[in-house]
Amino acid sequence: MTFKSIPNSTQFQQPCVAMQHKTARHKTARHKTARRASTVPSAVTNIRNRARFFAHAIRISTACLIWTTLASMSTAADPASTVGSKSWLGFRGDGTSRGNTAAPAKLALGDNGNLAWKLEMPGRSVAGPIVIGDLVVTTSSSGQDGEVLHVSGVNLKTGKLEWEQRFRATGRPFCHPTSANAAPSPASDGQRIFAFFSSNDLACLSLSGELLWYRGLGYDYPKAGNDVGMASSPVVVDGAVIVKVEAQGDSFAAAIDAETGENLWRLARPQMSNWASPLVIRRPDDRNEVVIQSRQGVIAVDPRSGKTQWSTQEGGSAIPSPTATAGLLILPSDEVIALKVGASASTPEVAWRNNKLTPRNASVVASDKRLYSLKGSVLVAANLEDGEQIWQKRLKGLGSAWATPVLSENRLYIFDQTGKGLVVEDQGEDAETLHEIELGEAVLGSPAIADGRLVIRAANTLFCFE
Amino acid sequence: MKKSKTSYRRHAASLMIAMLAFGAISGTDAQSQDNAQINQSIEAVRKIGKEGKGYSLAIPAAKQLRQTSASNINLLLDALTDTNPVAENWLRGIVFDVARKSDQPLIATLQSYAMDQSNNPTGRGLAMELLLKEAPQTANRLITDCLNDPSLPLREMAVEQAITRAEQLTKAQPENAIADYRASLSAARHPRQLARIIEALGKLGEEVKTADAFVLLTDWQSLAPMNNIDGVGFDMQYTPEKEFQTAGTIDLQTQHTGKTENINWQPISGSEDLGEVDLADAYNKEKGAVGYLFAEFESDRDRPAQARLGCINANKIWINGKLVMQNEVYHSGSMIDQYIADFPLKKGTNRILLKICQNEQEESWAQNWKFQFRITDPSGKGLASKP
Repeated sequence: MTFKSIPNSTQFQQPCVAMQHKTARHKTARHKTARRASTVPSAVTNIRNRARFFAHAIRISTACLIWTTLASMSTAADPASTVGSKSWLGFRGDGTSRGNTAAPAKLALGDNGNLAWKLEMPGRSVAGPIVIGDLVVTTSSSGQDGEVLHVSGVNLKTGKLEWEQRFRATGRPFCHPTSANAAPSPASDGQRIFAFFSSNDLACLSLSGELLWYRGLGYDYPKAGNDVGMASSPVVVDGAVIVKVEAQGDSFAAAIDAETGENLWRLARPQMSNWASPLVIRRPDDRNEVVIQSRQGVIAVDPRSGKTQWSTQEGGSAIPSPTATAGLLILPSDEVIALKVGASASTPEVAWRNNKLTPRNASVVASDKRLYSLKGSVLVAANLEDGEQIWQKRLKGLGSAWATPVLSENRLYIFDQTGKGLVVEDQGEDAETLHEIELGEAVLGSPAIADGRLVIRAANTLFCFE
Repeated sequence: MKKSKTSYRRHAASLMIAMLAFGAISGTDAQSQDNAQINQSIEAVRKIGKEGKGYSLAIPAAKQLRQTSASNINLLLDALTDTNPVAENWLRGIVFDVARKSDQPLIATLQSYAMDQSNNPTGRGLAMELLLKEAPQTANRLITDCLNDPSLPLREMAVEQAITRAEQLTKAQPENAIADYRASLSAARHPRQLARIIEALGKLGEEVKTADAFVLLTDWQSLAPMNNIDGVGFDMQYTPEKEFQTAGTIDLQTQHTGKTENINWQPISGSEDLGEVDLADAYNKEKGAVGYLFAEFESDRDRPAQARLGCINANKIWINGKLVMQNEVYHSGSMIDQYIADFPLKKGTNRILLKICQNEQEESWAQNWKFQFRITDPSGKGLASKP
């Protein structure tokens, strides 16, 4: 028997119940037979019957145990079926900031609003949330120096806290007052959660919140850390969790085996602050590469071996991260550069460059046809094919924005550091702000789009709009 | 027939007794096996090392421990004794999993463990964290008595409680608020809590100098500037550090070759309130420079201690001729107790040499060249030099 698309294990409990009913009927029939005729002494017959009964009960219990075990294994072994379109598995989802379901068309609080739920969190965060099936995962940090690390699992539909894990930072927890130790967004491969923190602590949890393994990269490499905070979010690809730990002192990128928690490789990196996140790209021959960016340029490495596949000095940046879409790799630098991700084992060629698109803090967002860059409070849309600007729009009232916007259909969801949120619609040759909302708390983490919902992690509260 | 029934009953009774006896023995053996298994699994987790060492054994061991009954939670809390911080987090995760799945109440167990001072401090802190979730009123009542507890986690909780209480009393009962703040000031060990208490007392008209509350070392002899253009000075062994590592002390009469001219040791003091020693102010905002600072510290006995430095510049510290810390980091934030290193304080005179390096960054936020330094016991209590 194969197990596919198993939302829960109840269907596997049914055979146990059916078998117990069958046993009861069988027992009754045997009892009737025993009463009709017997040439064996009744005491012996009774003992035999009892023995048969216990043996039968053991067989049933064993069968139930096997069914239940197989059911739970298959549920854990086939998480992709529970994920599907209900997923946002890392910073910017799949790295494009685009939802694969429609996000709510409006954002509004109050009686006529579409807030599904909100939940107070145990600490502060500037990380974005992720969504795996019906589970929202978000990180927080608390304590005198942000040294208490929290990972919370929340039901996407109800907003109920399903579980919370709590750890203590083993690396340097310090950060700028506007940031938090919970700065990198977590990541997931659909089976496990990888929660990473500015203190370079990396926790691997099951979807039910059980700790599978824990690495203290700040403990392993004590000179790694940045006392204004680190923020690079991990990615998971080919069974490897890729982290960037770049700052003065010990500076490196590393891959940790998702199963065993052990190092696959560690690569020395420039000793300078770098908050950009790595990005997974797929080459035409179906190979994955991880793009790692710094002020000194870009390299792409094999996820399992760490071997550099290509490198370029183009496109250096330490804050906005690279974006990939429609066969292009978009690098934010002093200018925005688009590279063609062409044939394998080759350095991508420059397709175009435009210094009028350079984003300030947030990463570039891209659809299949356009890209969007947030330059302070000015949103710019450009043609993906040639980088030519289509429109730009000053977003009235938008303050300093660090959270990378997200895109659903032709709507962008943009949040600033005060918690002001805008829904901006790309109307072709122009854009219009459709809705405005005030969450009342800083939002620095990029939101998540899943199952028709928009999930936003503000400093101390998790919001879900539907 | 009667005889058969009686013999059947005797037979059944014998069988029952035999089964019970077997069950009891098996149960005892099973429990012993369980405890042995649990201890084995705990050891596998405690033994994990750096860079994933021991994980192949620890992962299945952790899985096994997650299945353990909550009645064994004390064993897990005990396991937090003297373990490395990564293993500690493994055990924390397991304890949270076990507690979460427990169908039996844990309040009495957690309370007993947390309040028993013979238990390990970290385990006690975790027990109290769990008790705060299970029975917050009970936990908060107990925390009130932990202001001077030897467990740092419990002490920190108690200080936090006292600060919160004082904050609430500030407007209506300022005298009581001051009393609460004063009590928490002497109990606090965490620098951030100390700083908050000092600030709150200041707002209530009770001046407490940061330098005094933290017992910062503020009187030094300084020698600067030496060359740090292009950062070469950090690794360069200039004569003061060579002298100190060889002789264990400094001859303050010796003249040295500086960056551009000969230089001499001269006294320098930290600011009255914050205890900050400002080299930029003393040396005309010199850039690309190294400064050495020397001080003596008297201790009345041999004891373990910590050197605690807050510094926005690259730094090295030697004590009694030995290097205790070095950090080649420039202008990435600073705070009191930013860098901590253990060292043995000896009875009598201890000699301290700091090397504080300024680079050549031109940004406005990269002009500070200063530090705050203190010596504490392992709990973080500031120690004063006792001549």
